[in-house]
Amino acid sequence: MKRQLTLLPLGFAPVPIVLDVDAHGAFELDAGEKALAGSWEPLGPHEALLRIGDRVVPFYTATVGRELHLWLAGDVYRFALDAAEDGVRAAAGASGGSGGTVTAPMPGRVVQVPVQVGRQVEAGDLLAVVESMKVQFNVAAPAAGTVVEVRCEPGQMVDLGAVLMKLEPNP
Amino acid sequence: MFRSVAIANRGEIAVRIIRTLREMGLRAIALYSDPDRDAPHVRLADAAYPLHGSTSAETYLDVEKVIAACVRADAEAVHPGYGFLSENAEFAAAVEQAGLALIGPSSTVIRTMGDKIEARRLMEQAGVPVVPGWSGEIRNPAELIARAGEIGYPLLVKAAAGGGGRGMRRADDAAALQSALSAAQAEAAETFGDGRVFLERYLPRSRHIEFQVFGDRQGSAVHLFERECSIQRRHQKLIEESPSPALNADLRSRMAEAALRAACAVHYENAGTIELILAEDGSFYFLEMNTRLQVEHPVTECLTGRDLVRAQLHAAAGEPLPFSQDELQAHGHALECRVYAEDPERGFLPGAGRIQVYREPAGPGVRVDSGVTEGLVVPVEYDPLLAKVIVWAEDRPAALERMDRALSQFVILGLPTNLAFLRAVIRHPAFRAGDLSTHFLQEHQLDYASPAPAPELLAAAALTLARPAGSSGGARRREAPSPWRDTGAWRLG
Repeated sequence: MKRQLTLLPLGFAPVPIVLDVDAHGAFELDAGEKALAGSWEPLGPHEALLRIGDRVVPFYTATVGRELHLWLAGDVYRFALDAAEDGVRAAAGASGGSGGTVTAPMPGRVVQVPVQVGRQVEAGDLLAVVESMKVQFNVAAPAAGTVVEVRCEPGQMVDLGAVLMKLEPNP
Repeated sequence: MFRSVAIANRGEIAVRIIRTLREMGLRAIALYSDPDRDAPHVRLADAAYPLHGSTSAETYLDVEKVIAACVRADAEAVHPGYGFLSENAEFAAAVEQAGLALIGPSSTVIRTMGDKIEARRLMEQAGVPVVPGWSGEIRNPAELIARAGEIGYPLLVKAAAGGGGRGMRRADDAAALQSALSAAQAEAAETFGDGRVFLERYLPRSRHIEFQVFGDRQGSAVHLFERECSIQRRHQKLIEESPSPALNADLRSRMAEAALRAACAVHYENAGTIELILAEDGSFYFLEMNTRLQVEHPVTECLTGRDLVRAQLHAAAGEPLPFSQDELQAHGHALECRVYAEDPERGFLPGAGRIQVYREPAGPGVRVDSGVTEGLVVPVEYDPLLAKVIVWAEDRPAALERMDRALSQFVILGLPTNLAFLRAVIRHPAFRAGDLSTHFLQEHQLDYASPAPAPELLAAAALTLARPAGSSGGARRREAPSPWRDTGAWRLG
């Protein structure tokens, strides 16, 4: 079965590849100048190995949010899982949000929300404080604007990337 | 000896203490918060008692709750570990009042050494060198400027009740002094409820060298050599080792002698650490005393072959020290790396979450003290230390190679870790040369980025992503549910 796909390793350029893999795990990979053939053996939901000639390469995987994390030979790589439209790359490790959306920089507990809906803020103004593992992070306004929605309150637990509030940027 | 011991702590240190209790045939009692219901220390103990609540303040820091649980569990002694209540004199006094034994020094010693101004005064009296400074009263701004001028700039304003860099400010000249003083006082008052501060000369490019000391009720005290802990980030130790590459036999014996004098000056009982600062010119000064077991105690255990927790239990039971100074010998080189759930690529932000894959390194000379397991949700409430990797080898170069190997075989997926960052430090030429200072991480640019994706990495990613939902996959696929059913995320060309 031959498939074409584009890998999105975070921190590196997208890599278009062609992968041909049969029912026994024998595969051929064509990644432009780099080509590779071998066999693939999944050993469990998070563990597999590659055999390439006389080399055995174990690796481990996990899905974390919208990323695939892959451990191989001591290094961890992250791949964006977002179904990116042509020409649009998934934001690498997006934090702080983009446009008017303010998101949680890390999983944790909201300890302070010093603004309310309708409040005018300047770029850099404190919007919320999130605490995790004894570290406090000040979430600042990315640009001047008006707070149009607040989706968090002190004491609330939030995940990485959770929307904390929405801003309408000044025209 | 006690028959049952409660551990007023969590994470890797609770696990480590329980291991020794198990070896000694003592009943181990775990205490746990709501998020720690299934934590490894709970699973490992003989009995577990809840401290209902989530935050540290509601649980492991609540003196009444902790003591009540110990009494209910019929514990005879309490081991406080490090952090939490371990250096809290009120807790130590409450333990004593409840008729329990504290595995540590007396509440009096904890109180004395917890006050840095008082500790400085005692050390000066005992003839232990302290950093040039001023810890007396300052009545007016003119006197402040005069005292600072005597000490010399740059200098540090430090909180009497301080620790971990909080309540501390640096002043580079007289103009900056008043604002540094006010800021340190305000932060100290807010953090510790005690706004007293003192002045100390700032020593550039200094090294953090500490001595493990041990005393018993009979009045004997020994040292178990030094640990160098110069690799720090924001006053948080990251890598510790022994012997220190900075010490020769003469300097080591002079520092050890000062450390012992410091311990004897307060009639120290149980395990403690004398922190010293080693200046570039080879002079050294008392910094503070930690009246508890240190995070980095395994370095000393590997170097000396002694179990410090076992010795702590004997000392707390009133028995004489299980080793004399002459019996203590340092062999080879030991090194510890602290593995934190934090992301070096995103400003070291911590990342709590579920550990999906967890494989510890093993093999000759490798010890892992861990507080987590595969499948565990690492809670946001506590500090981000996941595990400590400790290696021992015949000399420093071999220990560094062994550490690099061990870190490269540590698999943790599901949350970010500093493993790549630790390896970058271990491999750095200045670290290899032993040219350390507490500003190492500010002075050196570290390259911890992963190399560009190699073909086998691309193959591994592509095969994982292209694995069709519910397919039988490769040749020897075991029956396991596919985690990829809902990904559907890669982009078809």
